[in-house]
Amino acid sequence: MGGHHKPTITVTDDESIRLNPAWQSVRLVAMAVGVLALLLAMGIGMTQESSSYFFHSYLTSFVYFLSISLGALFFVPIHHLTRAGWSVVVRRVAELLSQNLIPMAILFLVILFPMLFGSHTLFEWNDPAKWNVDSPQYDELIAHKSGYLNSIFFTIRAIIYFGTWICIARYFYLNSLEQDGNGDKQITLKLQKWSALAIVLFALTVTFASFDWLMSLDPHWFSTIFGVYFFAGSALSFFAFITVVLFLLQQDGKMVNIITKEHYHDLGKYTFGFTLFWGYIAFSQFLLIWYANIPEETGWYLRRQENGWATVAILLIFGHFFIPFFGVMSRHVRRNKYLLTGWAVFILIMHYVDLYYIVMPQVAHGTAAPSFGLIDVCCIVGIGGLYISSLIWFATDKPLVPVKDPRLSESLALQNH
Amino acid sequence: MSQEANNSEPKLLGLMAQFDDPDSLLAACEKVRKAGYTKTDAYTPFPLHGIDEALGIKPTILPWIVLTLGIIGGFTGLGLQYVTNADWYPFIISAKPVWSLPANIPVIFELVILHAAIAVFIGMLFLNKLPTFSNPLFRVPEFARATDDKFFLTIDATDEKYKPNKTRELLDGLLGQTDVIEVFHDPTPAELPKIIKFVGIGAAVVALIPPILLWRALYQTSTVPRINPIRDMDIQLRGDTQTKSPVFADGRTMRPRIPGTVARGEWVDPIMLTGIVPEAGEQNVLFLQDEVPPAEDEEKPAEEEKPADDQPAEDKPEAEEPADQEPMADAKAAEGDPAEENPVEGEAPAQPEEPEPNWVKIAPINVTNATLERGRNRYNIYCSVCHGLAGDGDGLVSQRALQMEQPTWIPPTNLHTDYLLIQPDGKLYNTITHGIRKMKGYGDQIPAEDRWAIVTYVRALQKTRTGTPEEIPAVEMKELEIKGQ
Repeated sequence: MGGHHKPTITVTDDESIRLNPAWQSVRLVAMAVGVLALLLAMGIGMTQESSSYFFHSYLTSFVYFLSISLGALFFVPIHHLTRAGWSVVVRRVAELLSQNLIPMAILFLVILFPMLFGSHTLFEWNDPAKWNVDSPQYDELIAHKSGYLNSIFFTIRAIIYFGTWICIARYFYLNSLEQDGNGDKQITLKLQKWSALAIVLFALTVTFASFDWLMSLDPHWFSTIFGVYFFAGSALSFFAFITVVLFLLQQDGKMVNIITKEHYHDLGKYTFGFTLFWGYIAFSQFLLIWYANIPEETGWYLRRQENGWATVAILLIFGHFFIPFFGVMSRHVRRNKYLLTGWAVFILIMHYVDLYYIVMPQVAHGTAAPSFGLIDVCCIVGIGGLYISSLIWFATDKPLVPVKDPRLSESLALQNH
Repeated sequence: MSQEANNSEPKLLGLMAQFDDPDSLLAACEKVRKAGYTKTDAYTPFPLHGIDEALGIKPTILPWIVLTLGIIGGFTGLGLQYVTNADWYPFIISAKPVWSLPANIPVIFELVILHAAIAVFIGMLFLNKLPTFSNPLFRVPEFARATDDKFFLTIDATDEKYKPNKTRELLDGLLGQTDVIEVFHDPTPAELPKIIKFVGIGAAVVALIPPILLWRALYQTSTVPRINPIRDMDIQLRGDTQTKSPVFADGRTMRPRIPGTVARGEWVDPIMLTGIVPEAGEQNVLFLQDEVPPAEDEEKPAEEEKPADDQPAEDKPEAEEPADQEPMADAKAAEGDPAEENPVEGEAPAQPEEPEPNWVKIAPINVTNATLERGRNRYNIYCSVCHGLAGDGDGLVSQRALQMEQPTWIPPTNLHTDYLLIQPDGKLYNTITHGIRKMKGYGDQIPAEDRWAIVTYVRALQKTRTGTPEEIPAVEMKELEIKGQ
């Protein structure tokens, strides 16, 4: 890198890189609204004949916000692993987003507890009658899978997933904060070393978590690529979400000269790439199942082409792939933070549609038609409110840029070609 | 390097300024751009951020080339599959529709990627004006340090703003520390050295040898098996004739027909196939199967029981009698009132109790000149070796056998005998199909249509002996008379 005669740029740790105190009131409001919305959703769900709709809708919103944090958890180690320079100024926000895996673990109890007490409205395989040969509901496939799909092992796995994720998130975050204080370059090397293991653990846990929480909604169905499909959506929604967060921070007068259009350009490249990746993986999954035409596999897609779900599927093809693909293809769009943020919001909406398409056709074990309603809105607002509230809580009183990262000046001087 | 060495004055290409550090280069670039020069370029040992803006270099149009080619690639993939799968070779594969978009997307995707990748590569070379083998700048000795520690800025002499002294002053005055170097056109002639020409021609001639050898091989025979680098077309996992298949338990490579079924598109009218008019209500397709030939059942016992009886009865007298005009009259009469009487006469000793099937009286095909020609052709191939070209039972095989006095040889039937003249066409057809006595059945070798053609041809042969002058059309009679005279 010789020849750059630019002086080393540093960031002073002052108010310009710390959250505006005004957000504290937003935090309280978001939390209150979130709790109320969740209680309302639960109330409506319980008064109806079947609580199935509520649980599915809750799971959709839960996985939606979880996936954003998982994308962040992917972003942080991968950038240590590749010794990326450009991403330093946006990395703290990603670290903060990954901290939200802690409240997500608590929100997961709403799904876990009923199941431990024998509820099988969400996970059909938790019904003991399905395993019992003498029962009229006996389901041979579910019975064969019961060694893996049972509430105890499910709980153990969930603990492993959240444990791993929170450990990784905390480790990278706390070390990064420590570096803010002492500027120790050894910390960067240490994080680099552990990031390889973190990525491997991330890949395994996310794959199996997506199998457990989304794929097993239809216990007959299986798709080996499903973990990658879920990951593609997660990473994409993370890049969209962090773009929105950075945009809001800049609108608030923070990090104005630190995050440049070069950084938006790079985030836009990721958004573009993962849009294509999502389309590629989603189609790969569909094509193999469509071509092989095996009943257990095609049933899942068949359910999503009936009762009006075909419209949602077509909406995904265009809204989740073709339109944003051409939308963020242009360099001009990627370097304009207003346009890019607009596309990020569009992609975040489409990511919700994607998860809705995965989860909601399974309502009442696969007889539902699409019916977006008050419960869904309450679940999004509820979990979203708690998510944002906890994000603000984590971000309070911390520099939003790793101020003593050895690669910070490289990141500040970033120029794209 | 060589200004003095040249007699003719070398053409000045432009001016080049040398700088010691990137910042002064960037500053100089800014000034040169602001002075209005457009044909400029900068050379640095490493990528320099901001140089594009400083020089005013426009963003590349490469992305647009890539996008265009990518879209063309997508439509190529789509069109290719439509034309081949849905139009030219509509083939149903694993029950998918011939035109099925999901199955086409991978190829479309790959062709988009392929076209885009090629567009990037070729477009990059094209936009960079590559390959260029030599550049006049390389002749400037100072320029060697452009890959090391010096920074250069050039202004082309063809620039609109270029004026020899003014430009030089501008460059001199930039920072005071620049060295301005004049770049001249390459003085050496542009012609290739002769040795390279000869080597090139020689190489071209040598390169012609392999195609000539290939071309020669196309028109020559060889006892050596040909070289087969890609063997998968010749050696395939399929059942060949006379091989055992590991796939099926019975070891057959081809599956036998299921009894009682007719394959789609293979239905043939039973009359056409058997020569028998089925009795009312008889809709049994079993007799269509090769395994169960009903007519043969009637013949075979007869063959074994009394061959001795039959042969003398039929062959000997007929061989003696050179059937003439009298049987013809009989035959005509007999054809009118048909098979009920005559076959009984003929085979009465064989099976008195078993009634003859209801033979078709006249061949159920359109008799045209083409049919007769076809019949003659097939007759000459299959029948004439025994029965003779004229149907007299004196084919070459028979003549030879008689010459050699083969004890078991039974002379073939003379087709002009009375008995055969009055036989219904169906019976004749049946004999060709399943054989009779020592004669083998030809049903397996000759398709049904051709067998009927042979029947009509045999009838024509018989007519040559039984026809009367009145039956010949007047026009042809005249021709014959002329020929006869």
